[in-house]
Amino acid sequence: MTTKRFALIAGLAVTLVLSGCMTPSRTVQRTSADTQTDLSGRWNDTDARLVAEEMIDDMLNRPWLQRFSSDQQREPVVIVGAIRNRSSEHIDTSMFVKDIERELINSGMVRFVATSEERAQIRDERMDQQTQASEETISRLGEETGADFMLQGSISSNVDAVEGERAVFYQVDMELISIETNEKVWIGSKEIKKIIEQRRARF
Amino acid sequence: MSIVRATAIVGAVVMLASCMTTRNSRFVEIDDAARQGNFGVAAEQVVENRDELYSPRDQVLYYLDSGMLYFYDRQYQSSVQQFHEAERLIEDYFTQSISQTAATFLLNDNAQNYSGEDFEDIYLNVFKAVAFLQQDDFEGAFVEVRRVNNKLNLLEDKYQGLAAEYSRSEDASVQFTTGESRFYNSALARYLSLIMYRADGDYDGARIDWEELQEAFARQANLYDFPLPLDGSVAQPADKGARLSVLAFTGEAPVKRAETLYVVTFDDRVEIVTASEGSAGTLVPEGYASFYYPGVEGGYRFKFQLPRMELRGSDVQRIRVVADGQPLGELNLLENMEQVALDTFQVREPLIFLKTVTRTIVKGIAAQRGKEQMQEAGANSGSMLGLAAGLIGSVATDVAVDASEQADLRVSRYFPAYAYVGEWVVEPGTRTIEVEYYGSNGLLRVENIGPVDIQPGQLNFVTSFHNN
Repeated sequence: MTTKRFALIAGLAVTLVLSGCMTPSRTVQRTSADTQTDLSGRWNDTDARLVAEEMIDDMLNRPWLQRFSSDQQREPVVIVGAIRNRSSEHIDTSMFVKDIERELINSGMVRFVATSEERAQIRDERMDQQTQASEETISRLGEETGADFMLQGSISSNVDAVEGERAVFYQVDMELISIETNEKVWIGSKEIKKIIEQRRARF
Repeated sequence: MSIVRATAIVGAVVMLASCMTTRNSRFVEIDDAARQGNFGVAAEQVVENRDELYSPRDQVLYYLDSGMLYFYDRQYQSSVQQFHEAERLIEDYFTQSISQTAATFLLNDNAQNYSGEDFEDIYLNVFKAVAFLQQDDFEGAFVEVRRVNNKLNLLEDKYQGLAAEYSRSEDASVQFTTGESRFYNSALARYLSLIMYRADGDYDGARIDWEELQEAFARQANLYDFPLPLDGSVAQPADKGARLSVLAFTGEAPVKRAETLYVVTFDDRVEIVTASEGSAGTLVPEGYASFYYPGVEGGYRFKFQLPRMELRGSDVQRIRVVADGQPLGELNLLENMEQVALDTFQVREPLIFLKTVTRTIVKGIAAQRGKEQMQEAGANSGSMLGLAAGLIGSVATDVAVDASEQADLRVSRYFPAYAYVGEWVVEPGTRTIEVEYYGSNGLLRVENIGPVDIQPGQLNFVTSFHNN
């Protein structure tokens, strides 16, 4: 009886070990891009999306846009300036800035011009066209669209932590500044707070 | 037991000890390459031989070692990537595995994931910040500085709180100060943070770092037992001219070596063999003692192996900075990084000792019981084959127990030993900077930094190193 019981336990143990070995160590599951995912507690795509949504909504519903359109009888032209990362994480700010840019352009209410880095490449190409492109297709010099406003901002974070638990507070501030008058016509702010807990032990 | 058999057993122990090597033996060639300044070769060897050099539980060390070697080789992007992985793993390993912890009581401390010491966690961000600066990524460097500040705040709360709690308790017969307990504030990290805030025009931020830097010296006197190398002007804008900041690193981080003690008992007698680890990572038998101890039961064998920290220091005794061929002045010690490592180790040492002794005794007694049963079964079998099987089983038990008892010698080995600093206000403009390293016999090496554009309100930061 004892031998049988031992054999049974040993058999179960072997099965468990083998079934453990057969499970793939990594699985991939496709999910929709707007699914909220919080794995490490760090800044992620969900945060970038929330910031972009809030900023777009806020920017398009403030009086600066209406005022400019009625004064100038055209859509304002915006350029993206520096979005500084003042947080304690390496954050790719271009992710949500591109979201903001795209949504604003698609709204048809705001026009964007290329950033200074993008412009350098385009100007090189335009200069090249002056000698290489045909007369009919050449892009003319001195025809760039000047921006009316510059979008600037920063992401800052504050961390309060004890062993195994930390609270991270992010604040994203963005400002739209008139290039001609230095007037700040819109200020948007989005705050995100996360509590991250980490267990001291696992099996 | 006959004298011949006893001699044979002790002889076998000595032979076994002299054949053994530690994890340090695997790094001899890489250490040599790094010492000769062939950091690229050393980094390549670490990466290529990752599986032989580092067990799956030592991956933090793999990333720290390769990150540091890439840093010295000026492969800053690779260095940042490796440090980033080390930091991620250190964070993950905050959650300890209960099964691994249990295994440390049965086998040895190497059974647990190496989760990095506090100083390693701080220094990796310091070198990441410097690596970002070398790539002209001020924002990236600032992120690292903020991470260091968060970590230091956490350490300060943790250890200052503990010290305060202990001092308040009724059992506290002597005043317990944090300075005597743990490293929780780094002058090096604070200085780097200070110059970044200063360059960003945030003089309030710079002032806070200056105060924290002074506090590191004041409250951790055991780690900072040398004069403060800077004064309050570092947190202020320069009145005239531009401020040049030079940070230099020298020497090699300490390593842990194994000290082994074998105790073999015979009836009424105890034999002791000691072995010390040499520079090549081989155990060298050093001492032997035999004494009469009435009442001692024969047949027990214990192997105690404990780590000892060996400082590797630096040949450099002074460092001079030269601008356009004219001496600017000497650098002064800012952080004794090897002392920080030693202090951290020493805090843990009593616990390691207690755990090792307990584990070894339990294993030794269990092994003896097992050996007795095997020999008894062999003798009862009545055959020569059974007797031989019993004896072989006993020897195999001793060998297995010996092999399982290994000191935890894990520590990052390529951080520098010392950090030096110097600041000068100079006329703005482009200057050719050289850093001269002097040993006891004169000039060891000159590192030509090349032209540096020094401008008011800018970072104007130069870093250099000499790893001997």
